[in-house]
Amino acid sequence: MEVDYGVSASKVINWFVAGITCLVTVLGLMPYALIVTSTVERGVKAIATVGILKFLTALPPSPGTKGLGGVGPSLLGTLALTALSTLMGVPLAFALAMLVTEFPHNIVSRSLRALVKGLLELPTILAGMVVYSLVVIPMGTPSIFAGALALTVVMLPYVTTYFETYLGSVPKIYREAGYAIGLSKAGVALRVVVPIAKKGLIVGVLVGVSRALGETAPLLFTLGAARYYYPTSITGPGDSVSLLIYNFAMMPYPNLRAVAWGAALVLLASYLIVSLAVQLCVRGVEA
Amino acid sequence: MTHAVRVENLRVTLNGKPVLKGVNLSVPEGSVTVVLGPSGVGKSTLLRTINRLIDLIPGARVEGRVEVLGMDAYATDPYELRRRVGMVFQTPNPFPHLSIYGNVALAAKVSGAAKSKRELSRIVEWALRKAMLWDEVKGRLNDPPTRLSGGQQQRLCLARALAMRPKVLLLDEPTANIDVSNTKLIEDALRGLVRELGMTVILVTHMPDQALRVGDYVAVMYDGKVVEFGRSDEVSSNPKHPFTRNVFAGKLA
Amino acid sequence: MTLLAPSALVIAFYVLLVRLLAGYSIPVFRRYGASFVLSSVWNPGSASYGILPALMGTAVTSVLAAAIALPVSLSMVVFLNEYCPSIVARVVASVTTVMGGLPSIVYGLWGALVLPELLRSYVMVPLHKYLGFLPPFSCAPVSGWTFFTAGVLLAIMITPYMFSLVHEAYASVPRKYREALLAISARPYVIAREFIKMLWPAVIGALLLGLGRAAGETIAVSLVVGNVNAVPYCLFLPGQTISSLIANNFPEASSYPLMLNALYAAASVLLVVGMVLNIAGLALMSRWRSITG
Repeated sequence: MEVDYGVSASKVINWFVAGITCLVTVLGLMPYALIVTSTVERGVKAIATVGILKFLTALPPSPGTKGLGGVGPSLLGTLALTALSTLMGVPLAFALAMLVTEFPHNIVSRSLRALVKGLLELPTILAGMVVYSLVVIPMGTPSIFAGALALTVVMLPYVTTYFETYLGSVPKIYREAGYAIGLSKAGVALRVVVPIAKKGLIVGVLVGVSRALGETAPLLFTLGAARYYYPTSITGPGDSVSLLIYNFAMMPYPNLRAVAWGAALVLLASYLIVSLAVQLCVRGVEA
Repeated sequence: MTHAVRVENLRVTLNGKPVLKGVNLSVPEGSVTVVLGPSGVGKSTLLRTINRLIDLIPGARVEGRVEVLGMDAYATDPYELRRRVGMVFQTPNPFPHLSIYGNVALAAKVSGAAKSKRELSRIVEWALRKAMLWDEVKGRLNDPPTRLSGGQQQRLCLARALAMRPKVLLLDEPTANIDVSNTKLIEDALRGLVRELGMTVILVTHMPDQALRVGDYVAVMYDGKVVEFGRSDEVSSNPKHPFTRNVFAGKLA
Repeated sequence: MTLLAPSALVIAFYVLLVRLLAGYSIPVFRRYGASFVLSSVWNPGSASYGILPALMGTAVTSVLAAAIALPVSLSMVVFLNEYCPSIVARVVASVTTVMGGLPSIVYGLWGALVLPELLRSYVMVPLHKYLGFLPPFSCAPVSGWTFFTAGVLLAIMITPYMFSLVHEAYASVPRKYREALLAISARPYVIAREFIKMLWPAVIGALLLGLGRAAGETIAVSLVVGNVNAVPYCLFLPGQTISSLIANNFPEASSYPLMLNALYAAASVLLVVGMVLNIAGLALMSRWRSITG
């Protein structure tokens, strides 16, 4: 039964596969490194010419001038949009997630779950188009409110899914214990399940925030790109950092493009901070 | 007498918890050696140190010497070691994405036992015959293994291990979840392999009657060590260690 | 019950969405029929609307993106699971996930201002020079804002997504199969090969979901693709996708007769394409999940 195994072929193939997959992985990761370094390099250069405080508060420059100005109104707009859409979206997502986790076998809640998941596939530009036709046209003007509404539509499925996961992962025994001491269904939900799932709920909110920060397409037709003055009302036009970058990127003026890079760095930094917070919270939840 | 496998002072800790506390075992070549002991005593762990499947467990620490077919198991290329040592697991695990033929053929191809397509089908048939499964599947070699019963799947796993033409065969409680008739078939297959091919079979079990049916030699394990070793008829009739006495007391009612 | 109010909101949104889409699009399909999708003429002044170039642009850029992203994400999955030390693997996987959620406008800005010249000089010009006899490379690359650039940028954007899907599937292959493969002396590349064969529904599912995501991407693509209504008979031409078409034309939609309708109709086409890809993709992913249980 002596067999000659002719081994070395498989060893060589293994090294070859290891090498190729390593190479492709490194090459595949390079663009992300490039993007981050480009943004940091050009963004720092732009912000450094006016100083970070001025960049965050001043008005953008006129096209073709030498100065750089800042992104003040757009930053305020982003903050307002994020706050408003979180305010509208989180309670809604929470209610929907509670409905799905407390009544998992109900046909209504199951179809609702499918509908909310379906929103994930809605092209974000369509969300903007819908809000444009339903809100902007009757109001007669684009507005921060309309923009926030469009953002809420986009972030809702993400936040709901996270809430659902964390609320659903609370073991049944806790719920049963709550019923056993005489709490109603609502009581159990609010006083037993929520406190246990607290960290996960925070993750969900952060995910919603990071979505709202970064989205641009829903704002294209709903916000108004009013970036040369500070907005005073949410029923009037506004701007967001992401929209500013979108418009300035296409301009042939170098100073506007520099502002775009600075704004992109601000956006990148905010996104990374929120992401880091999410990762830390998730690590904490799983612990 | 040559020993196919020699274990000297083997200590294994899993995540800090000691499982094997100094195992000494010399497995005679060309025989069935049964490792007998209660659940949790470390039989599966011992088996996995022989073909280095223990490398898969991140928290495992192995000290001592394991010699397989004259090679230091922990100083050789593990892949060279594993193609000479076949293994059958407690729960049948045929590859779901391959056919019955494909399952056996993969082992022959990967281990290098088959050099050409013709040789491949020869080896597959040979392995299935030796595993006592050929007659039941010869008409449906392209079927997925899920169509087989549990006992048939386990024999398929045996055939898969044999397709490597291994010198040593490890079996981890292979009939624990199998019905009586399939158990008998597998035990007959093992005895045939030793008799006709001189294979060294190491079978782990917690059933003393299986040890006596199948084993030429018995190694009794207790508290992470081998406490007694010898020919199966001698160990069962003249047990020296108190634990061995208890184990076979039930048998020799 | 206060829980019914939010459900009503979601349902109301869908109802309004469908009414809007249908209300605007149906007149367009009634008037133009199949020529809406088959004609290349986009002339708002004479109310001729044909989205063929945009449709083909969406197809070409998405397919190119998936064709690049699939091998890259598969290589990453294999390398991180079989060859890379686990600490490094976990860091790389986390970094990749974070990059996947990066706002698309950051990708768009880089794609608009850095990528075109990079790709043009180092990739497109050589490709045209040496492989110009192949139809996709047959035109000389003039500017960097082309279908090709959009495809590459989309590939960069969807790779983390596809990687996560396949990585999760790979990790969920039951351990007993890894043991069985090791026991027959399989080296890491054999394990990877057999695992991927085992999880092919998840691979195809990831491919379809990645295609769907690429097709729906608007912001980054419209900054990179060139925004010219041209049919992509060559990759190095500037062009259009459905989403960039909508983004570019919507602001002036009210100035032309039927343009708003045409754009909604285009959005409907995009929605249908996206839905088909996503439903098929999700079905395959859940088929994989049911296999592993």
